[in-house]
Amino acid sequence: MSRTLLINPTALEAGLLAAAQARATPARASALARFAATGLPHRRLESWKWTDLRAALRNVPEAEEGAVVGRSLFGGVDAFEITVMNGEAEWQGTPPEGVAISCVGNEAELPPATADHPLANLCAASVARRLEISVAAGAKVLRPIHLRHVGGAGVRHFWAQMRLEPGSEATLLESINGAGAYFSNTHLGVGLDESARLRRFVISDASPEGVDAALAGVRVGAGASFSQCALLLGGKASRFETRVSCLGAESRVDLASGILVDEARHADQTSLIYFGAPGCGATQLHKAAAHGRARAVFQGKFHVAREGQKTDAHMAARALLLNEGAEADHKPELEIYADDVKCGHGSAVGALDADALFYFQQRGLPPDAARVLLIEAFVGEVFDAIDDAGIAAAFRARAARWLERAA
Amino acid sequence: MLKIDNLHVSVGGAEIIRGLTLVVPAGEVHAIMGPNGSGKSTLSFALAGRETYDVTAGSATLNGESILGLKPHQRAARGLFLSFQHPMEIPGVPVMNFVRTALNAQRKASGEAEMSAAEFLKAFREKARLVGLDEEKLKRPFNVGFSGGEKKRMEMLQMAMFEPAFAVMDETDSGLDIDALKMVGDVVTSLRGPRRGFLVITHYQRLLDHIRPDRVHILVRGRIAKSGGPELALELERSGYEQFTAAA
Repeated sequence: MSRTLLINPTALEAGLLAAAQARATPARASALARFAATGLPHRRLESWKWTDLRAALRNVPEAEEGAVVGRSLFGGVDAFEITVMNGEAEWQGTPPEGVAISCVGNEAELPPATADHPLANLCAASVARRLEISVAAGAKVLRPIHLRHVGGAGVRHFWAQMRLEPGSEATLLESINGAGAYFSNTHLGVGLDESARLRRFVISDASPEGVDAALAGVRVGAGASFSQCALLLGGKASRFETRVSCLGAESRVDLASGILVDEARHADQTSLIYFGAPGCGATQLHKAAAHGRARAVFQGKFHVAREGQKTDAHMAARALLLNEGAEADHKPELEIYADDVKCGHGSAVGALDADALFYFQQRGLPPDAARVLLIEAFVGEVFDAIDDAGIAAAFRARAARWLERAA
Repeated sequence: MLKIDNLHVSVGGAEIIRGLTLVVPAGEVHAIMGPNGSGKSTLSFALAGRETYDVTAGSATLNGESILGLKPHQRAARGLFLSFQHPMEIPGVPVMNFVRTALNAQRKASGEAEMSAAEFLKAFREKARLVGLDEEKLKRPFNVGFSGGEKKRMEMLQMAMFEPAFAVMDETDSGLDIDALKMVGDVVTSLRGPRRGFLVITHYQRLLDHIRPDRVHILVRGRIAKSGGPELALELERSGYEQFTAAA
C-alpha cells in the first residue's frame, strides 16, 4: 500500500491521504501513490503560482449536516437535471433519448490528458463511484443535461465521465453553488468520437470561504467539436481548468470564459489546448473584471505538436481592474512544433476606458450606470456566441446580479 | 441661453482657455472658428464637465443656472449636449439600447416619464432617416464598424433624439462629405427654435453654408479675438487666421 511521501503534509493532506488509504482498492492505488507524491498544488509550482490550494486549505473545512440548495443558476432552462449533492449524483426520471446515465464503481483509470494532475489523482483515489454519461452514435440530444453541484461545508470529490459516440450532439450545463467552508474537487472526463459535438456551459458560484477546483479533460476526435462557455464568480480559491486534446484531424474547439470577482475572491481560468492532428481550429476568449481585493487569473496555453499542421488558433484575454486593490494575472502561452500554423494571442489588463465613461455620462447616464453598462458590455462579449437564448439569459442574469453589487 | 464669463481652463497644468467671455442667447446659432490649438475642443469638454479639464476661474451658466459645479450627467440632464469630434466605439452595447437608456436617464433626471419602447422606436426610425443611417447599422454595437462619417451621423441622430436645450457641436464637419454636411445643416435647421441654442465649432466656412450662424467668433489662444456676423467666416476663408494670431 502506498505511503505518504510528502514531507510535512498539511492537516488536510494527511486527512485526504488517510481517507483515501482507508478505502483504497488495488485499482485506486496508483492514483493514490501519485497524489501522495505531490500533495495539494501550491504556489511553488509554476502552473499554480497564482492559486495556492495548499495555503487556501490550511484549515480543514469541517463537514456540516445537510446541503444548501440555492436557486438553480440555470433556472429558466429546461434541462435533465442531475443533482450532485456533496459529491453524490442523483437524478429522477428518464434521461433524454439517446443518453444513458449510470453510476459505476471507480476503476480509477484516469484519461491520459489528466493522469499527471494532482487533483485528478486525488479525485480518482478518493471516490468510490463515478458518474458515466454516454450519448449514442448519431443521437442529436436537444435537451441539455444539467450537472447541478450543490453542497455545504466539508470536503468532497466527484468524478464524471462523458462519452459522445460518433456523430452525436449534446449540451452539458454545469452549475456550482457552494455554501460555507468547503473543498470541492471535481473531475470531468469527456471523450468526443468522430464528428461528435458537445457544448458545455458552466456557471461557478463558489462561496467566499469555499475552495473549488473543477478540472475537465476533453478528448476531441476527428471532425468533432467542443465548445465551452464559463462564468466564474470565484471563491476563497477557485480553479477552473480545462485540458483539451485535439487528437483527430479537423477538430474544433471554442473556449469562452468570464471572471467576475469582488471582495477577497479569487478565480482562476486555466486551460490547455493540445493540437495533435492536422487542420484543427480553436478560438479562446477570456474577459475578467475584478473589484475590491479580488484576483482574476488567466492561464491559457496552445500546444501545437509536430502533427498539428495547419492549426488555426487564436486566443484573447482581457481584464478590467475596477479599483486599485484588484489584481489580474495573465499568462497566455504558445508552444508550437509544427511549421505551418496560424496561431496568435493577445492579452491586456487595464481600467475602464475614461473616454467611454465620459461619453456615457455626457449622454445623461449617472457614473454608476455608465460603469455598469461598460462592464456589462465588456464581459458580455463572452456570452455573445451562446446560441441558446435561455442559456444566454442565465449567464447574463448572473452577471447582472454581480454588477448590481460590485460596480 | 449659454453665458460664459471670463472662463479659464487648464489641462494638465497648462492654461488653454484664458479669459473667454461669450453669450449665446436662446434661439441663436453661434459658430466658433479658430486655428489648431486655440482651445476649441478644450472649451467644449470644459462645458460638458470632463474631469481632467480644470476650470480655474470664471463662470458658465445655462438658462441662468451655473453648470460648472455639476457632474457631466447632470449637465446633460439640464439639456447640454456635446457632439463629439471623435465619437467612441462601444463594443457590446447595441446602438438602440444605448440611445434609449441615455434618453430615459435624462428624462428620469428631469422628472419626465420614460419613453415607451414603441414611442422610442417610432422616433428613432424617423430621426435615423433624417441623418441617413440605415437600419442594419443600427442593429450593431454602438459605432462599431461605422465609418468616420457614420459616427458623425450617429452624433446627429442622438442630438435629434435628445432635443437638447443647448448643443455644442465640436468639429462635426471633420471627415464629412458634401452630402453629410447638408445633413448636419438639415438636423440643425429642424431643431432650431426660440428656446434652443447651438455653439458650432469648426475650422471651415463650408459647414456654415448649411447652418447659417447668427454670430461667428474667432478663438485665438484661449480668448475670443473677434466676433461678427456670418460674413466674418467668409473673410477668414479668404485671408486666414494670421491677422488674428498676430494680434493676439
